[in-house]
Amino acid sequence: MGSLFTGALGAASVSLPQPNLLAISPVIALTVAAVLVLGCVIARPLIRGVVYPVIAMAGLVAALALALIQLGNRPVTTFSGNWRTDAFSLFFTITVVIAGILAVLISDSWLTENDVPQAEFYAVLLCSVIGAIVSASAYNLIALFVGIELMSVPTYILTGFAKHNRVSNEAALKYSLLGGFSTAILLYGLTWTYGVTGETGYPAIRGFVGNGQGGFHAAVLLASMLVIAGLGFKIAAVPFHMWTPDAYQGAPTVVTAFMSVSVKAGAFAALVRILTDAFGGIYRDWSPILIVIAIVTMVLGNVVAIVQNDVKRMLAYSSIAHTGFMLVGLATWNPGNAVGVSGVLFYAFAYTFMNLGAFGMLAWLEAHGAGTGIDDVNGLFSRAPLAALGFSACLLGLMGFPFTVGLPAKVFVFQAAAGGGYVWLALLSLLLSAVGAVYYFRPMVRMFMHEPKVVLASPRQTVMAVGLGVAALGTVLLGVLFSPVFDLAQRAATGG
Amino acid sequence: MPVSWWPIGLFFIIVAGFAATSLALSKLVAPSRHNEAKAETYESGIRPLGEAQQRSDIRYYTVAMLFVVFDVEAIFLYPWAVVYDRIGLYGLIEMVLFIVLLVGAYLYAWRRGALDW
Repeated sequence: MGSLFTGALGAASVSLPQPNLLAISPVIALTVAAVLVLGCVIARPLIRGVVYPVIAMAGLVAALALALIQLGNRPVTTFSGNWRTDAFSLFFTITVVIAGILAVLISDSWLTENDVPQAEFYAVLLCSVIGAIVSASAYNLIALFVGIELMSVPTYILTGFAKHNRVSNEAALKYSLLGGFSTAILLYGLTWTYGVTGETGYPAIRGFVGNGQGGFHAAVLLASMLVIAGLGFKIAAVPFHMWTPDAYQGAPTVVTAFMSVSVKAGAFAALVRILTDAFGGIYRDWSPILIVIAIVTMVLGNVVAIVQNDVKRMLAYSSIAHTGFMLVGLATWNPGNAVGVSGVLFYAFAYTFMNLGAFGMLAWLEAHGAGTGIDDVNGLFSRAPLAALGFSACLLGLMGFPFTVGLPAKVFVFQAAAGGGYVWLALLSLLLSAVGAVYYFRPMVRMFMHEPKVVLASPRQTVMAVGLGVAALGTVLLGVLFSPVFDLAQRAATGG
Repeated sequence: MPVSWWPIGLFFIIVAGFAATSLALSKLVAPSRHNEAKAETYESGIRPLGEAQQRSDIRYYTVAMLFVVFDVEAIFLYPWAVVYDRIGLYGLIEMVLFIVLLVGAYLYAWRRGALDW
């Protein structure tokens, strides 16, 4: 290097980051798969359409394996402190990758039958999964923002994927406008955080924030409130839920199935991480706010779901209600009581199976020529007994019925609330989840006791049936064998 | 405790108050004399041509997206070129990976017919 430049550029040599590639290996696997899927478009005449789901599935399975083998490892912070792979991020990585796998399984027939560009669908889906993983692994405000956007923007695209369907277009427009709005609020919060603390890394922010006794406390509070509002949009918490029913109803059902679980998991991971880690010292300030949000979310979601006559829209409101239940776990967090957060993690995992299965069953009905209205499920048991049983398993799971994964999920969260001194909140949540029984039982009664109204076509949906079977079986089996997953969630929540 | 949130409320009141006060003051203080020239679209006096709601070719969005592909490439190539001799092979591999991804995007656009008019 010539001495001519040293003056201008400084004599210090550039320090190259030493990235830990194993820590980001699930993301690398998914990126390679996404690029390969698009690469197949380049070589289109040579390659047939069937390879797209195969490549996407291979990438997702590889990512799952790479996440699983790291489970026992010590926490790794890499990329100059931007990225943290620990039990927490791996738990969410596994959750969203499973959501991706189930989504690929249930989407295949919808894509081929509706002449939807397959390569783009899978590439965009994989990008959203990558974004959710980045959101869960981010240990820095900038990485967090990149992750949230990488997760959200693909879901706006996926929502509008039924290009010739006006409802889908409308949903995509609403979702992207409100999503952009929420992103701006989140970014404003991140800017305030950086402006006050002068730091973007979580540990440094935590050091500055302390326990809220230092200066600039009001500004720190403002920052945390804006972050809660911005991420509240993504998890569909009241009063930031306005987009949810329209986006969930308008989006192609397979897309709703995917994004209702994956975006929620990714955004919850980001919210838990930033609140308990960066803003962990001022939990006394954000905890009451979250409790209020949790209560209104549970009340609105559960009550409005009762009056819905469209199962898809009903499930959209039910997903708002579940956000409320999960928020109870986070709201009652304190440094000595991390049980609530392990409840949130377990809930997100359980929700992946139950909710993806429930929306997936609606997609199955649509693939057989039915709609998503409440009448369309009439007499499903007499036409397709297995489908009716699987659907019922998922609905019972969402209700929190014994012998489904929904029960331990709710119990862990409510127990944490009671243990944290919020017995009244736990009782209120319990009461509101009993309200859920009203609207979850309604389609079930119609499935088993009413006469069929719609004649189902009978195309072969083998791949889809496998996906739905996994979701329904997962809902039931995890209801009995929940302890390994819960142990993992507990380890993740306590920073193992 | 929620009590400590009052500065946030104050902040929003100040923000809303500033906007409201500015608008109200300019309404009260500023002179308001209407004439025909002021009602025109361009106050500079240029007469507007055609309709306000014109259709523009939707295909321009592909041009915009292709521009982003090359623009981002250029943005990263400049700082890389500046420190190229100091980051050596590591930087070269990184940049090749990056460009391969962008070339992939370009080839994809080409195969999807983005360059056909």
